[in-house]
Amino acid sequence: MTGKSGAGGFQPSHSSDIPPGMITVMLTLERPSHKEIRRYSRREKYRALKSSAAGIRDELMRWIDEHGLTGDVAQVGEPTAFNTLFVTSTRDAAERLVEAPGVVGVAPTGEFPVELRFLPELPPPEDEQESDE
Amino acid sequence: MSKFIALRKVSRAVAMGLSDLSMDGKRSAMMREAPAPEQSEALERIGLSKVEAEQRSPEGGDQYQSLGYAGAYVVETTDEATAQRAQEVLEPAYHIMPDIEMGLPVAMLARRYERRPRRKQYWPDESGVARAHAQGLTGKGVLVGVLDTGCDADHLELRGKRIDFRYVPLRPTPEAVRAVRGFDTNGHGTHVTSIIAGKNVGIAPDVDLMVASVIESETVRTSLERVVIALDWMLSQFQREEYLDKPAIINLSLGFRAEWIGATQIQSVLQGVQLILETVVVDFDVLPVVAIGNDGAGVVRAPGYFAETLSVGAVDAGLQPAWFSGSGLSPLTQQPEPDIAGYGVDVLAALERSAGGNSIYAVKSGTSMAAPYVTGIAALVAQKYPGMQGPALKQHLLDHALPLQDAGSRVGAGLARVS
Repeated sequence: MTGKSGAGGFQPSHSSDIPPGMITVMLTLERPSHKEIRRYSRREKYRALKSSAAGIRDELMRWIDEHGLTGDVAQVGEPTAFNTLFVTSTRDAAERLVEAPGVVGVAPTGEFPVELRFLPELPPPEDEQESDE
Repeated sequence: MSKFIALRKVSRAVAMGLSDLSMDGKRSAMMREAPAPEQSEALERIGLSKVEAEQRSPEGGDQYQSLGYAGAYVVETTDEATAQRAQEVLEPAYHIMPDIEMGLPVAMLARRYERRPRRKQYWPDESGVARAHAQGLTGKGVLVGVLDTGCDADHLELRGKRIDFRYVPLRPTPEAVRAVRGFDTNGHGTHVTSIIAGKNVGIAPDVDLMVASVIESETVRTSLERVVIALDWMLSQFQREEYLDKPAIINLSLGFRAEWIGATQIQSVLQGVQLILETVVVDFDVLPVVAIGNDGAGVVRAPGYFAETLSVGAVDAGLQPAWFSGSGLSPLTQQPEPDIAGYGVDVLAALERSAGGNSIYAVKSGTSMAAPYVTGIAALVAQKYPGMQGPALKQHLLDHALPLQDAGSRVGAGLARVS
C-alpha cells in the first residue's frame, strides 16, 4: 500500500450495516517518519501520530465537501495512532479519495476469518486429581 | 473394553402416546415425565453401575449412562459376557449400535475439569518458569495486551486481577467501544489469558493485563478496523505515566491464510498489517507474539510470518513438534517460520464458568496455546532484564531458547525459556 491503489472489490461482510451501494475502504495516510519521532517519549509519539491522523482527517472532510462528495460518503472513521482511516462511501467516491491531500493509498477492507478453533482432545493423564477449589 | 450405544426403536413420543399432540404439547409432556427406569434396573442387576456424564471415567469400567430424554443408553464394560447380557436386556426395545463416534464426546468430557487439577507444577523444568517464580519473577511491571475473544474476569484464575478490558464491536465507532468487566463468549480468550497470567496456571501472574475482545465467537472473524481500534486503545495507555517505559507485549493467538481473503485483496490486507506492525514495533517498542497456525508442516499464517513479529510453533511435553504446528518459509521474507516454540499440546488453563458459577478448566492444544506460553516467558524475561523491550526482547528470547536439534526447522530457535 505504498502506492496509490484502487478500492477493488473486497465486500465487507458486515454489509448489512453499510448503506446500499457503499463499501468500506482503508485509507493510508502520510505520517511523521519513524526517524522524526524516534526521540519522543511513548506519550509524545502517540499524541504526534494521532494528531497527524486527526489533521489529515479534518482536511479530508473539507476536501470531500469541496468536491461535492458529501452525499457519497457515509462515514469517516475516527483517527488513531495508526496512519489509517476507515471510510464508508460509494465505490466511485472511494476511488477519488486517493486524490485527497495526505492520502497515500486506498485499499479495500472488510472482515476476515482468523484461526481460533480448539484442536481435538485426548484423554487426560491417569494420575490427575482435581483440587478443592 | 466393549462399548455400545442403545437407541430406542420406537421414539419416546410414540411410546408415550403423544403423537397427536402439538410440538409444544409433546415437548412439555416429555420433559415432565422422567424416562422409564426399568432397563436401568435390569442393567444394574447384571453388574453395571449407573453414572452421570460428568462422572464417566475416561478409563471406563462396568458402567452405563442413561440418556433418558434422548431415549438412549451408553454401555461400557470390560467383560464381554456382561456386554452380551446388557445387549440381551436392551435389544427388545432398543437398537444396538457399536460406539464408532463416541471417542470425541468422551474425550471432551474428560478434558473439562470442574476444579483445577492438582499438579506439582504446571510448566516443565525446561521452561525455567518454576525457577523464575522462586526468584520472585512474576511479570510484575510488564504490560501484556491480548487480542482475542475476550476473557472471563471472574474465573478463579483471573478473579481479583485488574484487567483493563474493551469490547470492540463489529462497527467500532468510539462510542461503541465498551469498557466493561471482562467477558468471553467462546472460552478461547480466557484460556489464552490464563496461560499468561492465571493465578495458578499462569506463567506471569503479576503482569498488567489489557484484553480486547475483537473476534465474533460465532463467525470467528475480525476486521482490520477492529484490530486497529483495539491496538490504538492499547497504545493510548502509553500516555499514562506508569506505562511510559514499561515493557509491553501483545499476544495474538490468531492468524489468517491468504486464500481465505482472496488474491485480489490479500496484498492490500498484508500491506495494512505491515503498517500496523511497523507502528507497534518501531515506534512503541512493543513485542507482538503471534501463533503461526495449526495447519502442519508447510503452511504458515499471517501475521505470524511478518518480520516484525515473534512467531510461535507448538511442541509437546516431550519437546517434540506438535503434528498440527505450522512451519515453512514466510512468503514475505522467505525466512523459515516459526521463530520459536512454546508448549502447545495438552495445556491446562482456565476455560469459562459453569452456569452455577464454578470455574471450569480445560486441557487444550494448538499454537493458540503456545503463543501465550511464549508471551508469559517474554514477560518474565522483561522483568528480569529491565530496559529490554521490543526487538531486543525478541532477540534475547531467540538467543536463549533451548535448541531442539531433532525438530529441525519446525520449531525455529527452539523452546522459549527463562534464562
